Amino acid sequence: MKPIVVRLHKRLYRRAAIDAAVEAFSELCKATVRRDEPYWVVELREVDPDVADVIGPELANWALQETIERRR
Amino acid sequence: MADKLKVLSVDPQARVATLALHKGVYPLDVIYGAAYVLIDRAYILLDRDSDGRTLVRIESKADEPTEDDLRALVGEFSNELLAQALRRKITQQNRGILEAIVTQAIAGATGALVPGAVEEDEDEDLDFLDDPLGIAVPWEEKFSKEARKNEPEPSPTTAGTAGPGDSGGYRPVPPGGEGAQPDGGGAEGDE
Repeated sequence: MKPIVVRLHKRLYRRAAIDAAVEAFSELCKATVRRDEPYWVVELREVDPDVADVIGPELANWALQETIERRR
Repeated sequence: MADKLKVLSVDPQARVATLALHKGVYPLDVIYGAAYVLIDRAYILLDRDSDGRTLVRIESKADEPTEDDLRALVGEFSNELLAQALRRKITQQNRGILEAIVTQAIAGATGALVPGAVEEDEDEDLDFLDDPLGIAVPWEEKFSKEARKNEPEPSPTTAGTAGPGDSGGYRPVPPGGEGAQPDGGGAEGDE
């Protein structure tokens, strides 16, 4: 199964927020984060099939929420 | 002139609407605030294009959203952008007042004196038990018959003027002297 890829712009998402999102979803997939300027690229593997169609956007939402809350 | 907010696409089949926001008009805090409001009903993905505009991809969480549903989400996001921008402006305008209020509140809670909030006590020599004006003397003691007997005769110069032991109230002396009843005596409240 191909990995699910989420690309998050480095100027709009904090790395710590992305790490928190990856940690939150760690029971549903295995994730790696790498740089590909100007993005953070999150690759999700071994995804739980029950959530495969929503896990990418859900992780992006989680990272956005963490970014917003960490800026306050 | 570049558009401040441009709807790039509305695709009901993909459940996605995409906006482009001019970076000079909508600060990042404003975009974050508006996105946060919609985050429970839509998947929000932010991006930047080569012109520096912020792209907002709004994907509805509803099962089969219509185009109207997506446009409603876009409209709500746009309204929220304005609300957040106004809130940000008001916060910046009132920042000084807010900081002063919070400073005083915290200082008050910790018991610290806020400079200028409390004037220095100028009457340091006074004890709270001192009663130079005789205010604490009960009315019954001050105007009892025995007290009046012990009261020194007023000198011609001080008669009729208020002194430290006087209550300050009006106490008319009838023409016939202390013992005589004033005109219309027996008013309410007299003994």
